[in-house]
Amino acid sequence: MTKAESNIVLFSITLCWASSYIFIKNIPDSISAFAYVTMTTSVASIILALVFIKRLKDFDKQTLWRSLILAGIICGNLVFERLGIAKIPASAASFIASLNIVFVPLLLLIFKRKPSLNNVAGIIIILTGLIFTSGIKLGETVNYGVLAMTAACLFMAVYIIIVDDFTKKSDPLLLGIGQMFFTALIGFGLWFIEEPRTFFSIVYTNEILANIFMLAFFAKAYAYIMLMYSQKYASPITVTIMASTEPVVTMVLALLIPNTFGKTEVLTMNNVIGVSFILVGAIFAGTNFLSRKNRMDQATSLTDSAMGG
Amino acid sequence: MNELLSPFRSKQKLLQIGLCVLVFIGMAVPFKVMVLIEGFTEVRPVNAVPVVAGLLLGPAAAWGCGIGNLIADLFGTFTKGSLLGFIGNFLAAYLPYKLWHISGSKEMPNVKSYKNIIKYILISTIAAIASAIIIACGWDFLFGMWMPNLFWIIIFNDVGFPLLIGLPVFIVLTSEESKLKITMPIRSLRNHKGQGYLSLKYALLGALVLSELALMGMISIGLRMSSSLVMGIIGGIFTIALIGFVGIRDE
Repeated sequence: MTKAESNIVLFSITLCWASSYIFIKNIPDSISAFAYVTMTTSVASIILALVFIKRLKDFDKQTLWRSLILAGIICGNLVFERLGIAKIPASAASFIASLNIVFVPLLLLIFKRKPSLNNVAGIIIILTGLIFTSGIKLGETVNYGVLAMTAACLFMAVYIIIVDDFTKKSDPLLLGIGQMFFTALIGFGLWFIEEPRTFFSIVYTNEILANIFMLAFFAKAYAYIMLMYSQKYASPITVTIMASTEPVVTMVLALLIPNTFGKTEVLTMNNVIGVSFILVGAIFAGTNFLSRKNRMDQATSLTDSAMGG
Repeated sequence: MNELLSPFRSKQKLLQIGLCVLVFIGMAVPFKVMVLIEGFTEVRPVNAVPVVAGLLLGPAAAWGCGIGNLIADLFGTFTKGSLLGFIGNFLAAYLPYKLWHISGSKEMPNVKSYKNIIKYILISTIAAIASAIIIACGWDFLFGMWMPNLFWIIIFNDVGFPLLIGLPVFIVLTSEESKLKITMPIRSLRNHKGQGYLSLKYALLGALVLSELALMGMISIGLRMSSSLVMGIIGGIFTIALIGFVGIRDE
């Protein structure tokens, strides 16, 4: 997979996740986050198992173990996100959730993988854009919800880094299928703790079922399998940078998609400014002209000092 | 024509048709709730399938998409116009296959270079416009119902989804990881390059693209095929070019 190909795939994942709000909006509030995860990942597991039935025999212990770890991290993210969202304003939650752009490079430093100059500049610009698009205000009430959301974000950052490692050791397709299956299992356990009647506690309508199916197909089955494939070829930083363009995609979708299918976003000046920052930041982070310039400067100074004596 | 019917002579190709039908139904039916024109069309991410499947599986995909669309229509949008839907989706898969291999090069479909990404976009667009003309103008010409919105929605669905969803799937299916066996035209395997046929193919393609652009322009200024002689004539040229391009022998 070339770099351009991998970026296209990553962008399509961002598109899927950004557009999933259209379908999530049609799911009643009475369906909890655990119920939502259980149902969507169960359907996604069934779809993937049916489509790739011949590949299931290739599962080995290592792949299953890695899939379980990934599912555990995803569920950890979900639990903390759920705790956080209930306690802090949506703007703050949205902003903290997007802090992956900072956490991933920081965590990578532990593995002695330094971001390039372009990465750092791009991340700072994107972060500025995210402040605008999320609408977060200085001095906004913060409580332990912030900590919970930060923990959720850390789980996501760890997930991105671990996927990067696992996809180099195991088949991305099998990892994706396994992760989906274990997420459904863990999700069901959490749902059972929350509401013992689980599947029987929901009043099913055609609309709910259609939306669950669409989310299962695009936001879960498609997005996660594609993420596994693209992470085999893209660095974790590239993945987070592409994911950070989600507000841009959301804004474009909000303009394109008619009211019938979801909330039409109001285009504010803050959104436009924020999105512009994110785009510029993504271009910065996705290129390497600063590093090249730095290398050239160093080379020039070395040549000068060599010539000088 | 021989190539068009070839999937029915092989068990493996028949299985490919079946797989395309299943994928098509699975992706089309849930979106029946996202209606854009009641009884006619909806938001259709399934339209990502024909281009990708066509490029990878050739005629088998065309049959699979056509039949899949027909069956999916049974879930709420089945009318006499479903025949047009069958033809439109058949072409949405078969045209990309014919267009990719027009030059007779042995290169397997891929988007590993920017040139090929542009080729994929152009192919998707040409197939989308052809499909939109067949369905929207077909409704007007055969059944007396003119819905210009239908034309634009089909183009939106048939260009947008093959790019946003189809292209990434195509990338994965043509990556080193994929074990999929891509269907290639028989003639390119035999390295047969008759110059006369090649010129004829490009001439037909030229006529097809020009008539598509002309019809699109006419629709955008408010003309309809059943009441405009000029549009009818261009529609005729489009139909001849399309049939010629699709049916032209490979050897």
